[in-house]
Amino acid sequence: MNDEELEQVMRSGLHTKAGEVEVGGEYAALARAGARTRRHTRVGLVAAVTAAVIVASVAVADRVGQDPDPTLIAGPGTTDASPDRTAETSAVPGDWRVESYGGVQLRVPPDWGWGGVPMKDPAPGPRLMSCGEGAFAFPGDDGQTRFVDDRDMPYVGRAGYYMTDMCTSGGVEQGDATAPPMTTHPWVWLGSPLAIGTVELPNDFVQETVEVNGLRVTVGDDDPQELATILGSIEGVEVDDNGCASATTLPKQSDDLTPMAVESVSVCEYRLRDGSDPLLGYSTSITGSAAQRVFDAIYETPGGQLECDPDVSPSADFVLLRFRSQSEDIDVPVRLDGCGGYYTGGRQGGTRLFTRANVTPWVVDGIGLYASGGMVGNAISGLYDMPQG
Amino acid sequence: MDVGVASDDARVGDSADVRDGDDFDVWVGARASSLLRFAYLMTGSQEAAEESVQTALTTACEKWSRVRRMDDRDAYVRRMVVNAHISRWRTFRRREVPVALVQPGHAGASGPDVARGVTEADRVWRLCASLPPSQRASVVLRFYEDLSYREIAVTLGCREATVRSHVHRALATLRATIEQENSHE
Repeated sequence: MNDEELEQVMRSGLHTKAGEVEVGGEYAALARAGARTRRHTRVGLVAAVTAAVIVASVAVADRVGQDPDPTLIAGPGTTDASPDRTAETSAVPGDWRVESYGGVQLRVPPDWGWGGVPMKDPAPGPRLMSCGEGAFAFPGDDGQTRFVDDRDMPYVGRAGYYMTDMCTSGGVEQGDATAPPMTTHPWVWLGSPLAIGTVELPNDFVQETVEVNGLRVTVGDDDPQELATILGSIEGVEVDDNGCASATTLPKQSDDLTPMAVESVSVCEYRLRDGSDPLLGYSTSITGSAAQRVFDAIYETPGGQLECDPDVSPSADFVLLRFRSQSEDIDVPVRLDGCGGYYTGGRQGGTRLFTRANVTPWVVDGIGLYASGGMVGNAISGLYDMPQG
Repeated sequence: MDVGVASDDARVGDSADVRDGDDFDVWVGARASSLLRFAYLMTGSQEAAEESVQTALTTACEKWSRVRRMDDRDAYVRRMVVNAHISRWRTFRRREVPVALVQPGHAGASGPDVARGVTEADRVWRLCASLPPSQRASVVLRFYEDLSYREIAVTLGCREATVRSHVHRALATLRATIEQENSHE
């Protein structure tokens, strides 16, 4: 089948399906009624929205006043972030999603992917080392983590996550160090190695690095409005909008599980650190019946026995599932270590081993990419064996 | 008198509202079916399509004095349909997964050509269901609305290269699906 025939199949298929829709309806009258309702509602919201924008603007103004860290990489074109940025800040569209990392959250358009962040090369000199550039996953239509082989899409990267073992360095001198290899799509780096300031890049891209709660965040975009909106949405938080605390202690096991009417579940992935409490690396949340399915799948899993010592091969991270109902919150720690994946909240405090059925419901958004180095997401994708359950 | 001036202004405003309202009704009457078909291909269900179109038309109605002066009102509203769908998708996608229904053929239609057409349409439908919203929009705008890559990029507010990439990947997936299924037949 040649390209022309293939395109014809696509055209024909779409036209066939379009013919199935039932047309008709009082769209104009309903739209006018809806517009009137919105006008009445908006009057009451204007004051609140204005206040929120002012608060966001002040937060950005505070950040750009901080001195750059001389140990971080800076290019010759780096300038202090402009205080005029506040004038460009605009309200965040309602469908943008929350991205949270180590006590800082911001919002990006809903179809952006996820990936890593270049790091400072451990070798002397102002060089970056990359262990995977661009997006490695994006939100699938079913909500689950979808891995991509085409990195050329806007993405949010997180420091400390290796997307590949094929790290590259060298050849990037100071003059180029602030310019990422790809300037064809926007990006956000949470935990950036770059210095605070603004840099103009090829293809009309502008890259701005700010610091909040001690965390550097770099945003690169060729759309000034989008850049300003993302920067304006950055805020320091102790508990993010997905309900995840920025840091926590490593839980040994949860309370015993009893049936509950779940309203939502926070999915919080924490990175273990030497000498400090685990830090939130990624978070998302699930609501409604999908949240209930997450709980039910775990609850219905019979208790199991680990066949190894988890302390012999500890992991770099763990996931905390926080189930919320009207009357209580229940935490279920998810361990991902040398013994594989398992829940420590079993009946009478026992252990429940991973099965495809009890893992799939919560591996949504970026969690499949970030949890346990992507092993959970890959397991769901069928790359690794996992009991069906 | 001040009152008189205010009254005159109000009448002028009312008259403009009526004219705008008539204009809006005429435009919606002419374009609603087309928008609904586009939204159906975008969302995969009648209910979601109607909701997306209604959301977009409500916004268009609010801004009609500006929208009506645009060269390409359809493109503007199609973009709102896409945005409304993405917003809805983010909110409800974990609870609702549109299922591709096999619709009965037209009365009297039968035979291998019809069966082949249904099979290929369903392949295309399954492919669309697997795509994220912006990629799906690129495919629908390209092969249903017959827009150029540049026009699609303007409609979706993204770069032309992104649109080309979306379409290319979708076609590659469709080709692989067809070849795989043909090899099993």
